[in-house]
Amino acid sequence: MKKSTKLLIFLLAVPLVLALLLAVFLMIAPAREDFCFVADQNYEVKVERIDQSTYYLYLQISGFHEKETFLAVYDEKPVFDRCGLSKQHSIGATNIASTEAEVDTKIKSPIKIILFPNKKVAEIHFKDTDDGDDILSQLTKAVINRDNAQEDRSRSEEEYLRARQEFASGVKIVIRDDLGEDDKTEDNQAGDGQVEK
Amino acid sequence: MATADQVKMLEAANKCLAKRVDIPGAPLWHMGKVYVFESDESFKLLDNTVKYLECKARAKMPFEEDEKEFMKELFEASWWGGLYKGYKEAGKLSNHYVNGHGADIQIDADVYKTSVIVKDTMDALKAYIRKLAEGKQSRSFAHLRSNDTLFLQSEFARKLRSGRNVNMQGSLLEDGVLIAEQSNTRLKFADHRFHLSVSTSKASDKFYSTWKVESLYDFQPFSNNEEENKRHITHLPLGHKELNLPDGLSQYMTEIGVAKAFNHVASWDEWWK
Repeated sequence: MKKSTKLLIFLLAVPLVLALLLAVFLMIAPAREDFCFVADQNYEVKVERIDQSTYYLYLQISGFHEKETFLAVYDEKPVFDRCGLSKQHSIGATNIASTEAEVDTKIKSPIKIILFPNKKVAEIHFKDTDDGDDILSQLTKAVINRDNAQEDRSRSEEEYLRARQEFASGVKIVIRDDLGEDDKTEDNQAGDGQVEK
Repeated sequence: MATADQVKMLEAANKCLAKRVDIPGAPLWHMGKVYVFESDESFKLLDNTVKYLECKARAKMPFEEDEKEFMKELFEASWWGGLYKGYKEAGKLSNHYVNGHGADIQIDADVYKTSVIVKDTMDALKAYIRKLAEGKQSRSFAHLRSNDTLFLQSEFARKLRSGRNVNMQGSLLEDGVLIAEQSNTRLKFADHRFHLSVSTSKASDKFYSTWKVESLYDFQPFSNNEEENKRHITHLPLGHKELNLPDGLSQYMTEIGVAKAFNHVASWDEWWK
């Protein structure tokens, strides 16, 4: 076969193969349940037992060209699929943008999360108005592991665990029944978490 | 004699060049191989390429033509995926980022009209407009926006600012920005945060409103704060793997002429009482 003929066949074959692969991809992809545009990211921050229930606090980052960061609380351990979604619904979640967190100088811990499980609402309170961005940085440092941090080899696994432990100890989760109820009590001093009626 | 900054840049550039990889000619081909055939080899090629280009972007280095083409095709591949899995607005916007030359475009208003936070904010704005129309205030209701100070202070907006579940209902922030409900993936991948505006006229006992969302499509640049950079990485699931695409790299495409930020708009009209 002439060289020019071989070249022509090659030039025709390449786009055909690409088109075939694309067709296979497009046929299979939509049929798969886990096909999604972009995956949400979920990082466990803290597990806390209050009364007879266990609560799981997660940092969640979602979106494509615009990312939003949330703190979400679950009353059963969530299992996330490849899209970062879970069948379990959070009992409360709040945007962590520092402008949205309320400042409550009475609280002892850097962050206090008040849950209203009946209404599936969560409120986040920072101790100090200047803490917001710092807390977000600390939280990121504590929970986003180095697999997601690209080339971050500056910290060992132990350092990540230590940062997470330190951050988690500064977060209080409080349960409340009614929205709009004033927080008349300071954080308890005996231990983590309390139920307020 | 080179300045300290120049020395630093040269060191960064050399570090990148040490990681240099052969740029794959058809990223969609390799993405398909990872997704369909779970090819680790193809994934490694894509991942190493992104890491290499990220290094160059952070060092503000110019891109070769094949490197620019790689990044462009990554975004074009998103258009395909978006089209076939119910994310047509997100796919359209992603493609326009690299092929639109910065021109404004329109997207289907349905993506907003079907949103819980949008519907609730529309109801709140309508109630506010009704109150303005009934009252003796001289304040005009002709043109309002969700970040209107008096609207945000009103009882109607206050109800949207607390007691909401962000997953199922979305939220209205204190600066009037609407955050898409997280369960609404079609909206959050197209437009996660936006203002809602409305132009209204009154005819007899009815109102006629034109609702509008106008947003800028762009990406967060690399920051000196590395913790912030970690929160701005897009995770593209490819079967059993995830390709991590830093938003700073996507933004850098606008600096090397591969992409352009642009405005997108959606609007819809209605009569209401």
